[in-house]
Amino acid sequence: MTISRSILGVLAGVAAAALIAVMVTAWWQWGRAPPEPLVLAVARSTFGGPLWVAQRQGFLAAEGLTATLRPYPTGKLALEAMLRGEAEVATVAETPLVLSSLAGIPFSVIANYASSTEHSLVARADRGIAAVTDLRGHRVGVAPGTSGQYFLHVLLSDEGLTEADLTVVPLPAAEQAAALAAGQVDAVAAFAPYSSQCRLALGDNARSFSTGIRYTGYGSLVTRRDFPDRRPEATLRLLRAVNRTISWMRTHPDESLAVAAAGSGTQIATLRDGWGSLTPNLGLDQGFIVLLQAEARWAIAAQVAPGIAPGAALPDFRDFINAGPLAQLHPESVTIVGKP
Amino acid sequence: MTLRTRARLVALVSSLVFLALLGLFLYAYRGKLQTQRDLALTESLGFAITQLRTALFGFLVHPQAEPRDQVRAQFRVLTHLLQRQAPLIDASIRHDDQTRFAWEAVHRLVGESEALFAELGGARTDPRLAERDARTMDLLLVDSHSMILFVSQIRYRAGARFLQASSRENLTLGVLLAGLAGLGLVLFLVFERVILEPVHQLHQAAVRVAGGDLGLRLTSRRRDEFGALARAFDGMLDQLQETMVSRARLEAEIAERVRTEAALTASEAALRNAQRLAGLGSWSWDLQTGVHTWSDEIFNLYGRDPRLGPAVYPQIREYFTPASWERLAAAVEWARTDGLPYECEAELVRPDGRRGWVVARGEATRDAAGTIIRLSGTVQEITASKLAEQEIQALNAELERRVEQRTAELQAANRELESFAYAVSHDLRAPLRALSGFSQALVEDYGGRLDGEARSFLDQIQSASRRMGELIDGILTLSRSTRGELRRDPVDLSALAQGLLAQHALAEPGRQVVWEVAPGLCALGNASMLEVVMVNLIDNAWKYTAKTPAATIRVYAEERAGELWYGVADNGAGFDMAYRARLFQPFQRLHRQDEFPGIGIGLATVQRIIHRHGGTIEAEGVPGSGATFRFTVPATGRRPESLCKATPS
Repeated sequence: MTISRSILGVLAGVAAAALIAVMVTAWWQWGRAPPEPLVLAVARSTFGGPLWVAQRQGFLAAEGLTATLRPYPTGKLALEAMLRGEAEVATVAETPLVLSSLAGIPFSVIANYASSTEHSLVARADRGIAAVTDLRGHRVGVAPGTSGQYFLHVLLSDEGLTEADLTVVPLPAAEQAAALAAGQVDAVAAFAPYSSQCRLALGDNARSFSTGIRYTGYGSLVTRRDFPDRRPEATLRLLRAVNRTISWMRTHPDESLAVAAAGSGTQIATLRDGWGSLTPNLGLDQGFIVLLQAEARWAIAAQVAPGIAPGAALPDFRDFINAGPLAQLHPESVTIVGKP
Repeated sequence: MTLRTRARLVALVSSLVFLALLGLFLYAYRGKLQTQRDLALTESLGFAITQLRTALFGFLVHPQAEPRDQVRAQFRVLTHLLQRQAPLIDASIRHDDQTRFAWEAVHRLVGESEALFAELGGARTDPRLAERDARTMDLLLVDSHSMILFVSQIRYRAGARFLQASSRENLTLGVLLAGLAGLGLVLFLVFERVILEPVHQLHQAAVRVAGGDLGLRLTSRRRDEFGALARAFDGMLDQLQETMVSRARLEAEIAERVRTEAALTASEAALRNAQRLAGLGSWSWDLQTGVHTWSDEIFNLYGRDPRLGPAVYPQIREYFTPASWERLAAAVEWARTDGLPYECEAELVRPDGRRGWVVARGEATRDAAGTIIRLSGTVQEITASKLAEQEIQALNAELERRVEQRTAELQAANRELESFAYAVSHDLRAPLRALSGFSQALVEDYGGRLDGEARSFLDQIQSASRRMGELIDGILTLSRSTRGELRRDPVDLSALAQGLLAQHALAEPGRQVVWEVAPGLCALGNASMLEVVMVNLIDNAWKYTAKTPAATIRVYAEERAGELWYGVADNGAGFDMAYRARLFQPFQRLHRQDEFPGIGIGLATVQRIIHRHGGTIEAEGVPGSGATFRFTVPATGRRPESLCKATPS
């Protein structure tokens, strides 16, 4: 009698537990909106790192996104792919954005998720380059339309030089290390992992120069202009996932580097140089606008791209920023002056 | 669990609960204080950055030495503030990534801004550095802007934490207050259940006991002091009830004793009276103390002055004749030594010379060890009955003498009567024979010469002579019927009856008589006498059924009122019951001679024989329907039939 009672009790307990589990699961499932597909164009650069971490660590999936990450060598190419419709979101630094805005291409920045001072100029010492001012008269390769180009301008102008004092050679990022090693150029202005590849290619012959805090690039999440309104839930989920990723990266810097390298298919060694200069932070602040304006002034003055009219007026970059979704999640992180 | 232990436990638990709640509240309060400090810190930080920005603007507008110094001074203030407050804010940022990031960003931006500010002004010496200065100013603006915003973030999050901490503090305070109220309630409930309720029960019980309900018991199962108190209370009630019961029992015993004493007094008075009336006195002799106790009647019987007290044992002999005392003393000695009770008649000789008879009875009493410790008994006067007995004995002796005398006379008369009857019959038979013989001779010798009338006379003479002879035989039979010693031997009446009836049937084969004889009829008596009885009764039955077409004769026995009756019944001529008394008288007949010849001596003989055996005979008849004769032969304690079976005749 006692045994059968205890067995009955155990069975009843198991049944109750199973029922509760089923109900909780059902509630959890029913309380969640169905997963949303999302295609992202992500650069293999340092700026692409947080997105690779978000994907590899499951933060995107955890927020209800079935994300597909498509790698591109640079943010500029990722942006162009997004604008072509190959992806819905792109990760990109500010320089391609400035040039696109000056070209009248519409887009929306929904958030900056990192800033970096990792740009550097790698020069061949055997070409007599021991300081920035030694660049005068030398051939310096740079990927046109990337943040590397603006970095080179800041580096030169801080030393009283201009691009006219040397020969700027347009050089796609993926070809820079080989060109530098082959001596086709004397130096390369680039960002990780290409700058690291250049240093590795030159070995002891490499000389690196950086602007330090004088140039801080911004990594942005960019969409077509109608995307946040068309896919508001996906936009919010993306922002939540990136925010969770940033929190995790702050506490797991080494692990996040490995994950990012694995995700982007990049060697850790080439990514590590820039990783320490990467500051992940979700926000939209006035410094970003100031930087965009500065770069726009440079682009107009230097006629960096063919479509830019000389003496063109600065665009109102607030039109290229949609702070609504981020303000909905973290209002304290949106500090752009003027239009909300 | 005792109350003391329980109280300690309650106090311990209450204290722990209170301390836990208080700890929660203090923890929440400490958190709130921390967030308050954070807020104050961000306020001062925000204020310092605003000052820096103001100074920075002043310098940018008027890039001269004094505004530059103000900016530098403000940088130092800010740096000092950050260094001083770093340990304070460390606790807040430990678990808050956003705050930590913002704090580190402010720290970093202050350093960067100071460095940028130091680089400012290169364009004054080298116009090519104008763009650099412009960019530096942009960076300074952005950095100062960012600093303010990061401080705002810190403040925002500190404010959020403050609200959380305040809510937590309020919640814990509420919990603390509720816990205190709950503790109070619990303590009250515990107090009520553990103390007030038992006290109330005790009070109620005490009130009921005071009202007389001594049967009340608390029967508490508690194991604390109240349980012990309840058990002590119950024990007290047990004692009290026992005392009350004992008291009631004592009162009842006293009342019973008073009643018993009164009854005893009355009984003693009645006993004295009864002893006086019955001439019966009682005595006792304590063999251990030698004390004799007499009732009043003993003194009266012995004619001894009660004031002298009882006479001691050896002295008492003076009250008896020597012969009586010898028997009585021997009986008393047996009782003293062997404990044998005795009853002894003795003749008294009183001091005044009066004589009398008493019956003295005595018996011994033993203690638990079996030792005879006391003799007690009675002395009853029997003088009157003794005298009456003596008188009866004298009368009986006289009576016996007279009976013997009368019996002898009677026996002599009987003998004489029998002699007379025998003589009469014998003496009469000779002349009768002569009469009959000569009349016969006359007929034979002179019959031819005698006429008819003379012959008729002669026939009548002969007939009368025969009848007279029969009468003489009858008298002789009657007189002899009961003569001789009455021996009681087993007699098989059934065999007798069967034999007689068979003889009759053989003698008169023309008669159709059905008879029925019960087997095993047996009587104890004189065999010849009983044979006479059966012969007469069977003869009568055979004779009086001669004219009955379907004659039936039945010989049987029946038991009435514990007595065995033998019967001979027939369905013959019967008789009128009105003449029943004449049946057993000698020579009395109820039928005419020509109808049923006979001399009327049979039934008289039968009655005499039955009476001689101490039995009874009776007759029952209906004219034309038959007659039944029943008789008893007392068997003197033995069943006659069993004897017959043992000795079949």
